[in-house]
Amino acid sequence: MPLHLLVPLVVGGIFAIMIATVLMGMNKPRRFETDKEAVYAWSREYPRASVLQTSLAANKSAALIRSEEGLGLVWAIGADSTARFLAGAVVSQTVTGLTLELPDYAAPGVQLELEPDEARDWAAQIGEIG
Amino acid sequence: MTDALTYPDVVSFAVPFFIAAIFAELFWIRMTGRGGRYETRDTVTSLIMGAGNVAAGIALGFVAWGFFMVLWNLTPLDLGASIPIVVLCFVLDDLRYYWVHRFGHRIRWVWASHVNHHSSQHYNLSTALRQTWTYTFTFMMVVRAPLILLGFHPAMVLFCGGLNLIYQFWIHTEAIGKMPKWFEAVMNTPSHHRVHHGRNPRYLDANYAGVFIVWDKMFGSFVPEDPQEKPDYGLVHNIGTFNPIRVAFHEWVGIWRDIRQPGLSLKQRLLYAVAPPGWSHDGSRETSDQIKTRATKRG
Repeated sequence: MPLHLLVPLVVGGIFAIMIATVLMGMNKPRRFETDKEAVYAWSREYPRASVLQTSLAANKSAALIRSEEGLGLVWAIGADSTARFLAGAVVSQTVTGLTLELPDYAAPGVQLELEPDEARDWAAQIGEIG
Repeated sequence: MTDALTYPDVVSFAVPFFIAAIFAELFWIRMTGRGGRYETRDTVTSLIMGAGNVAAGIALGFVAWGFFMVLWNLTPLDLGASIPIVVLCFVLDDLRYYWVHRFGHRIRWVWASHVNHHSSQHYNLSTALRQTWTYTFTFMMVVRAPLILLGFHPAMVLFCGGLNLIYQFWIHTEAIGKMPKWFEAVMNTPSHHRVHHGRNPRYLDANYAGVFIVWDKMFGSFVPEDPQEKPDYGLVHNIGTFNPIRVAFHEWVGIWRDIRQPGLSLKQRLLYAVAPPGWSHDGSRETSDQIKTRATKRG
């Protein structure tokens, strides 16, 4: 297929599919409704790291996980989740919560929307190990 | 010798079909409430990876083509371009695909290219298009060398490869349960390929087939889908980004960081590039074999 047809077809197709998913409500972010749900999402990534304590964010978008192997974070990414240990993380406060920079090219950072008290508490905990 | 053989670029001609089929799957999921999940950013990332794969093919395709033409000029064999030869080429190229795909899961250098196809936690038709940008750098084009040297024209081999890729599009869906028994026995199907995309320990490194599932049965890598254990899609350690650049290159960056660690022997540095994904010099990570063993022990 000539490029002058292929390029608009591909660009238009991507745009149209994106709009369709938004109109169908498929852009809603994942939320962890309970601590148990957050722990389950953590265990998907780190099945060997037993969880000692969980702090679920008020907006349910992430949870700070204290495990036998160290402090970690599980967070919503799109409709799904991922998790990382926080050793080496750089934390900074923002107007809406915290920004975490992670030493991982495949998970370079997280924007966390947190309540002010929550943000201070999480920053202190993460700062201890960062 | 057949030098001027040409075939249509079937993959680009299939693009309208890909788009229409994704819309059909979207509407099916929306109407029935079953048959899979879509998420906007995940889908857009997959589609951009697909577009990037086509662009990479245009930009770097000359490398493989040049290599194939060198081989074609070396070989005294020419099987011609009859229909039976094209069919034979398709079957043998699918065997080639099986091994390249298997290498893609067992050799980290090749996995670095293939990993992005598994980096979505969704399994739908858009996932099929989440393709590599870096295949050329795996040098896996050498696995096609025997076909060319046997007398299959490079254009025919690439044509069959394109048909193979198109076949694999429709199997990336949860909207189809099982196909008829005879079909499941011979062909790769949505059920077989869902297993391949599963990160459940028992589903790791299984069902490498492109078109014919018989290769997995022949070479001992076939695992049937268990109705009691739904595949959990994605990577053992899921990525935390929708940035296509990071999706495309993250494992290459991982290799680079690993081989540059201080205090490693030359052998250890090499193994970080070519050992199975998950290998580490200090045992701090797990390969798929180790994950399976641990899961089996746990019962």
